[in-house]
Amino acid sequence: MACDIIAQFPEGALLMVLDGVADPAVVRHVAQCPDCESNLKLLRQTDSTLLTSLYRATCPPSLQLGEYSLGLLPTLESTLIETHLATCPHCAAELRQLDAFMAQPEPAPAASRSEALAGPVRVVIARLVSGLNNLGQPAAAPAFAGLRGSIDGPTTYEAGDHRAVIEIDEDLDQAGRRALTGLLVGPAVAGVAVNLWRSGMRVASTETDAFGNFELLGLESGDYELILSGSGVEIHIQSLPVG
Amino acid sequence: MSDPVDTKSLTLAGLAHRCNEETHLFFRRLDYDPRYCYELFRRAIVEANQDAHACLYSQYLPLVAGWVERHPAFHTSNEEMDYFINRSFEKLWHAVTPAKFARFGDLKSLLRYLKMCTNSAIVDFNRGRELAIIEEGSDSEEMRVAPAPGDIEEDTIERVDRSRFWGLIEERLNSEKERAVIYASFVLGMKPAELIESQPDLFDDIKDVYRTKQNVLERLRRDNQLASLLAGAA
Repeated sequence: MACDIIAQFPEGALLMVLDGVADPAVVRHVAQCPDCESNLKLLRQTDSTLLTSLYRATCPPSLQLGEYSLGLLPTLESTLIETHLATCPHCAAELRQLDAFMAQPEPAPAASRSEALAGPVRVVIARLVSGLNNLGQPAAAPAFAGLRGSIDGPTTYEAGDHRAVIEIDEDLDQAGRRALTGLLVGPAVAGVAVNLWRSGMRVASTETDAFGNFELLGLESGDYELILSGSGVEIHIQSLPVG
Repeated sequence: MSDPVDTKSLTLAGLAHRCNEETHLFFRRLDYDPRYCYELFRRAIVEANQDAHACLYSQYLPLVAGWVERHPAFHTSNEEMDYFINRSFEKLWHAVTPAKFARFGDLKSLLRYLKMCTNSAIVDFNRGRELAIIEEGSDSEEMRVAPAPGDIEEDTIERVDRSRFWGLIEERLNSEKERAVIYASFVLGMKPAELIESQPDLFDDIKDVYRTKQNVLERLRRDNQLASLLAGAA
């Protein structure tokens, strides 16, 4: 498929046709020469195949580039990345973008309750003291206890200077559900955040009243964790069965 | 007062709760205790605790969403935010193995890595899109089809394939000039005019670039082994 005429043009002329930068005489010739047209088609095919097969073939994965930026790579790998960066404008641009992105200040979320309670928090794991006092009667009872048919309790948990008395009753407004009433006794018991967790999810929350009373309604039976967060102290009742 | 509780003695719920509270303090630039979130990461990565994974996902989802939202390439991607959020976490879980976890001494370094993973997810998307655009513009019947970005294993195989193929091509190049032309044209996607601008000392003029490139292309086309590889890759 040799064409004598195209040989009179500089080598590479066909490829220039492909890029649209050829001498108009070459373009005219190729348009009417089946051999050159066929050659051009093959060149275009090879060019396309190589581009789609090789584009950014030597670029490091974006994660490796990121680890380089964070200084997490061993020296040898870092050196290889630096060598690559010297010749690859794509990766150099990605690195610049990454560095700028990492330098962005973190967004400040809306003020939360924890901000008001800022300061070191002492976490205390509560232990079950008993369900009854020495006289065989509830040691203390939440204000709402006794209003419903009692299922469990009251039970008392101790956590440092605090005590929590918990009672589980039927929820009279929701058939088959349970109501948890509690009383927190100790210093600074008003306005304590009460959070009930189950299977790694927060399922209910409330706050204690001025006297340390709290109530959570509509609970399914099961095992829960109750977390009481006050100022400077957080009480974890890790296993709270709701029967 | 120091905390008397060993974080390892806390339940997942207890950790998740404290992690949530401390994270708010961290982002308000107030004193915070990073041990609870760090312990959650430890359980997720070192103990492969799936519930800890889920806790961290829900804990840091708003943070990662914020990163995605403010990434300069997100709004031009036309992709859902959830896609990048999920890919960010996948990258973290995939990249930080139990052995590697020891290199992250504190929460801050883990969160920096997660942020870097967010960038990586967006960069991968853009790399895949660039390639798709190149393929759309290609009229090659032998055109290779790159997988859509999204699967870490497939992405890795694709990258290794490309790298190996470049190795085969490189073996067939006879001079620095040829290597420069083929590397710039196909690996970097540069036009000859851009190449001559970046390496003016290597070539006489732009015709020299075209001449070299056309010679190599014709030689590669006649290479039987390469031809069969390209046919197999189609």
